Amino acid sequence: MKLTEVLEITGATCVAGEHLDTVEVNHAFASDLMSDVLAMSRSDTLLITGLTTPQIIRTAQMLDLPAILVVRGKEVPQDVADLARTTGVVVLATRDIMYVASGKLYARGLSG
Amino acid sequence: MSLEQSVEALRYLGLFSNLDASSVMSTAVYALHPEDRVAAARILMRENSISGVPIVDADFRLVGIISVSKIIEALADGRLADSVDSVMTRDVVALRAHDSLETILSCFQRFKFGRFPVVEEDGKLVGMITDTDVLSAIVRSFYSVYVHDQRRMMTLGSFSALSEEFEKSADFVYDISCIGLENAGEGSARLKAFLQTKGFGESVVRRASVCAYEAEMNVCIHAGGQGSLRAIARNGEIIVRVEDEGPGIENIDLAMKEGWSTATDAIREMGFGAGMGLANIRRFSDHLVIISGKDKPTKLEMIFLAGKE
Repeated sequence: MKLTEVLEITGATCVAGEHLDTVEVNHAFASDLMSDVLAMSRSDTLLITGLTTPQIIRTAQMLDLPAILVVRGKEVPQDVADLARTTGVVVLATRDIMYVASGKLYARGLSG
Repeated sequence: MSLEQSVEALRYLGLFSNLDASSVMSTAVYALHPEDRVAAARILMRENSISGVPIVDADFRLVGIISVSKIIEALADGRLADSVDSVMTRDVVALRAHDSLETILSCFQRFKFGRFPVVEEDGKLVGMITDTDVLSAIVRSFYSVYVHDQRRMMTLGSFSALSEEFEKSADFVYDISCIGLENAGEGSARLKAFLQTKGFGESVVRRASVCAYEAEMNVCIHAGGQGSLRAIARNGEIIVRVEDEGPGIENIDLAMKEGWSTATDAIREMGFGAGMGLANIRRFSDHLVIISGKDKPTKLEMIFLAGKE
């Protein structure tokens, strides 16, 4: 699934990153526990989380995750957005809660 | 402690439950055919300093064993030119490939033989186990997850499994200095970038980075944010060492358990402290050494083998 589709399906806005039509994810993982995310070592995955700390970017970076979808309408702090830009991680943000965002994406074919 | 008590302790504590006969045995084994001469067995034993030779049929099925005492008897009777078949012991005590260390030690205790053949379900010989093999396997398994705390210090003295190479020549050095959690993970990010320039595969770099990140987070969460992250990356091997100044891990066995954590709620709100850090590190590293104790610095060394993908 292209990130442009993720954007459209969840009504998200793009906080950091560009050329979303060129970035593709094949799976998604939803969690607020970064160690659980780290335990799942698969690179072509969209991370769905309600956290907005720099560690979500670092986690994505370590696992080569292309993108993060921040849920629950959280505002992503400037320094986190900056870190995302320098490390090349795309950050999207939606007002949906984690359950709803996950459900919408799953229904449209993005598997776990 | 008698061998009997050791077996009892193994059973009770579930120690070395990962070791079975197939991981203990030597697989480079000399064997003879029943029609070979006793003289051949004698030469084989003398030249290779072994005290027993398993006898197998054409399909490699174990049919007997010949020991030094049988050779001595044959010598006395002038039967060195006879076939092995005529002097070998047919009633062989053999181990199965999946037998536990406890079973192996019980065999040594019960039968007083110096060696046991290991066979598969179909009776084919796959290896031999001597007491040296058992000792080596135990030492090897200490090296794969070597946890060192005060208790083990009393048992093992000051022996350390850590590489001394770091003191002389680390390839990558980063000083962890973290206030709050703002830059926690920066060292691991730099390490990852460094490893990528060294030509290691994507997967081993990811494993090393994830573990370094978990270890760096531990320093930031539990050890006041001061420590070091160093790495040696050569010869198809990445060794990462993370050290801090304490307060140390009081009970390493407990800390290795998934879900066990001493982190505060504030840390948990940041997505860490769920008790998965060391568990993740153990899962993704090929060898792991932790040296710590109450009010002691923690030294953590992880080895990642590029060939083990």
